[in-house]
Amino acid sequence: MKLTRRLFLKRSALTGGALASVAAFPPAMARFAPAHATAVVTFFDGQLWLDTSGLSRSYRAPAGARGAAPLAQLTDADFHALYGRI
Amino acid sequence: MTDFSQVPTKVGYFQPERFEADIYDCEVQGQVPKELNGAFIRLGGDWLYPPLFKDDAPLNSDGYISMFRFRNGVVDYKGRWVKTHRYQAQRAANRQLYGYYRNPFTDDPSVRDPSRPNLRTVSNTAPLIHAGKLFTLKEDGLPHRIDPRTLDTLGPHDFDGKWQSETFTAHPKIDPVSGEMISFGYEATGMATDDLFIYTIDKSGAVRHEMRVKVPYVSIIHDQAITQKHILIPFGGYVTSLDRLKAGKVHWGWDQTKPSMIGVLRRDGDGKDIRWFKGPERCMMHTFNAHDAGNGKIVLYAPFWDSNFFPFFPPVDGTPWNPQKAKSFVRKITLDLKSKKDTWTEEVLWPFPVQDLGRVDTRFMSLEQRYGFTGFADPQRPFDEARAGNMKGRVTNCYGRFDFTSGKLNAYFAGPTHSLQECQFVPRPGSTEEGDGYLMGVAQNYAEMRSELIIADAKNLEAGDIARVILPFRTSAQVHGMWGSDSELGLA
Repeated sequence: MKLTRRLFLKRSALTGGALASVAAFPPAMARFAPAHATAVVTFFDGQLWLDTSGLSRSYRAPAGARGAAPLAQLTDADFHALYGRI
Repeated sequence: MTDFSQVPTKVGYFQPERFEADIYDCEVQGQVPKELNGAFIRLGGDWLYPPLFKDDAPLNSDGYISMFRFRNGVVDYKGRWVKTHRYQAQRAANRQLYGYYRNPFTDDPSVRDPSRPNLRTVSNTAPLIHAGKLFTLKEDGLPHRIDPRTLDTLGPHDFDGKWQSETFTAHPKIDPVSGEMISFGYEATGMATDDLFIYTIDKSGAVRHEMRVKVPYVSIIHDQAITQKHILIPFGGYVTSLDRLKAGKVHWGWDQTKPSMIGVLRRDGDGKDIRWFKGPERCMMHTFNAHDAGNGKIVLYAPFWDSNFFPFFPPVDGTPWNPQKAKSFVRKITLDLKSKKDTWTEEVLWPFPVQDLGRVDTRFMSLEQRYGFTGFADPQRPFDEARAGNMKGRVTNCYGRFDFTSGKLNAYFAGPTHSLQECQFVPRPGSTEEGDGYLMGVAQNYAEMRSELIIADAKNLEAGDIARVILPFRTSAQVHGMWGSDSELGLA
């Protein structure tokens, strides 16, 4: 099931526990990271992304994210409401 | 809990962002010209909280200012909310308090005050740099002064009490010859009033001259144009009234029976000489430039729309909004002050629609000018649906340099996964030739869900960009932008 931002917040207590576990047992790469580096949770396109490298890397979308795809479903009125942004 | 799921346009690339950001020494592809020292300032809107009404205008979203700061080939990025009175009230309440676009009768009772509508401005339309100061502008309120180093909001600015209008346009014009700024406020004495106040502000930032006139009907007066002698005030189609606002509707509706209008008055007069010219149905939002052409003629270049562009300002006769007529074209309008006729002549200079956010080399504002710059959609260019998603041809994939004299068009293509926001012309330091400089603007990269600042040689657009500044996220969308050199911004 897709884990959205909203679902994540609803499950924050459980997820918080999971994150604590990840932070407590960082993967092998973390030995090369700065001392303060821990696992990082970010959201992209409404979905959870967890950096488990221990390098605190922010998310960067892969090529082919199809960010325009939902716009094709907009009506002409809704599309024109994006005035100045397209 | 904050929930944007009911906002139809907050999807895909345009999902809420709602964060402030700093990036030092941004990633760059290509070479940023080291001679560019200053900042590209952008202003737009993002909803701090979801709108109270699903059909509200996006023009009602909260102001967000961002800056690409250029220093010797290095570019930093900074983005901040414009901390208006409205922003602070919402932050304190942790929810949306304000109703429809420019209708305080629809506000939450805790902030409702129809006697002071300019307190609800979101200041989200255009940045302004004048007399060493940086401002954010929106036509329903006063300018907000911004610290150019930090982008902190310093507060509303009324020019030491000399600015008497309750509102201030998003499009003042700066005369490059005198350094004066011509600006105006409409609905100057309150909502739906027919008062238009026009001011001259000298190069030190002091109000020097005021003219007060009445408009033929109350409408959006979004932009203006100036020549060395005259001020042009174009508008058309949109209507409002106090009854409409009390009925709880969005501020504007479209009345196709209303003529388009251009008011012409002398810059050095008292306003009594204003002459109103009438034209056919037009949505007149932005201008390129105007000049006195001799023998009593004034030429205006403008990318006006055939009809109502904004679906969220619906027709007052109950007919559906018509997307087929929501197209803007580069137009040359000639007004003859010696003629007794009250109309103008109009030529459409290129047969295809363009983005109506037209820009020029502002060193030639008010003077005869050869080039205009704006975005447009070239359907012959490729779009990579596999990587970017289907756009149904709804993409601004090119910037154009439109030669008003020869009719020639030079085009820059952003790439098969990109769409372009408003461009900005930046003069090459030391050059005085019109159009010698850089074209700059932010592109959406739909394939990688990030924003990129494009920098191209304005005299060689076909060669592609010379540099792209890469942001690792989608920056808040822009309505208008402005370039300011270090000296203009007081950053030297």
